[in-house]
Amino acid sequence: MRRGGPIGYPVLVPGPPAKSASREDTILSHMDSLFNFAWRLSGDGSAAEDLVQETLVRAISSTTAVEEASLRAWLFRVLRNLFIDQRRRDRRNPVSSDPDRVDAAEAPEDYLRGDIEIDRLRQVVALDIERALLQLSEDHRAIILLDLEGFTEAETAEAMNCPLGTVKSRRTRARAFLRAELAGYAR
Amino acid sequence: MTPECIELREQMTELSRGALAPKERASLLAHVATCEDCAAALERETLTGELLESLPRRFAPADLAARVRARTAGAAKPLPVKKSRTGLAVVFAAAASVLGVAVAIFLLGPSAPTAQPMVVEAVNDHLRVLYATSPLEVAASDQHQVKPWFTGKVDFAPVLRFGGNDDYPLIGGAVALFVDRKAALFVFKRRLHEITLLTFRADSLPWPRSYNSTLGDVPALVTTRNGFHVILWQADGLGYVLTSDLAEPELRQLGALIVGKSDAHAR
Repeated sequence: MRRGGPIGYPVLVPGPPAKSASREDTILSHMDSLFNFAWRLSGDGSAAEDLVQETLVRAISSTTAVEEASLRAWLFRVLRNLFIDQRRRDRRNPVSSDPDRVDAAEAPEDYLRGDIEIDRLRQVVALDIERALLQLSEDHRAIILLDLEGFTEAETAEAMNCPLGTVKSRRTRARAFLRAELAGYAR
Repeated sequence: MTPECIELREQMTELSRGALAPKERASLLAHVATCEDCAAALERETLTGELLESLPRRFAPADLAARVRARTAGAAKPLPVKKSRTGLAVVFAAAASVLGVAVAIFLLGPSAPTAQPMVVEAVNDHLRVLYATSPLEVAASDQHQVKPWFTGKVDFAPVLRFGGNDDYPLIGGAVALFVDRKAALFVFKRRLHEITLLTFRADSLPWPRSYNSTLGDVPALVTTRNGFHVILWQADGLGYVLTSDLAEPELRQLGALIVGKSDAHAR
């Protein structure tokens, strides 16, 4: 049986070889964050999977030179651009593009079948938050989601390809909307 | 609302994100201390931040990385990540080694398991069982009583091949939340040690891309967190996590019984 452990392959950067990763591994290390972002952005697990796969394939195959410090923002930018392109195509050829759609497996009925109050509440709260997020425009939603991924304002501006001031103003408006939508949870 | 209120409210998001400069932070907090409306607004802003942070994370399917690698396997390997301070010689050497890297990855798989969120969740669920006054919703030593109890309470049929014995008696079960989904929680005992077994749908969770052990012939990840031993594995579309402060060999022995390898020679 294969056992885990560092692979001793040559490295691209100075430093301890055992801790270094290949470029492909470095890109793939962002996969879960990209998937979480894509899911919240699209509101759909299958769409998120397609977006992340396409983003990673393009990034690994790309000849674009990206500073290592900017790699994360660049990856999220690629994914967001793919998402926007996809949405434009969907609007031209509408099949099912309900912006308030929530994954069928997460319909409230599923959660209400259980009998543990705390579980139910957690799931219902999550659904309310997801619904509120999906009501935001794609640009505003993306900024909130990048905040949740721990992006700095500069990284968010880079990922969104817009000035810092735009990030600030969109975030302010998005948060104001979310505050109003989630006001029912105020203590 | 004064002009000062309007100006300061724009900073509240920054404050709740911990991104406000100390001077502005002090100024905002001083104002909030004297303005009830702004204090209420800050509370709402903080709550909004907490709600957003509470959203459960979504994890990429376990096989997604393999699919990406398969799609890019034949592609040329340019170097999109700039290494501005790296010597050219190192870059050339690295480029020459790309083929070797690809072979190593193909043969060995990526090295680091990424199941940390699952391990953390398993230990947290185990602690909840230890600390709760009534952790079990069905208390019974017979799996034929415990398993049917889950019908309609979780969205899958728990598979439990081992229903307890004198060494590892089954104590009972409960419904738990594991990462973003419901799980069937079974509790076993070994002397004074409690052992929790969580079983849940295995899809869309951050399963490790390589395992460091086996239970019988089932690949398993054996790890330790905060003094608790944790064993993770998958079978028939379901995920399983065993957690306990029991000695690791004994926990492996129970794991082998649960996967149906009763010879208990888990490696």
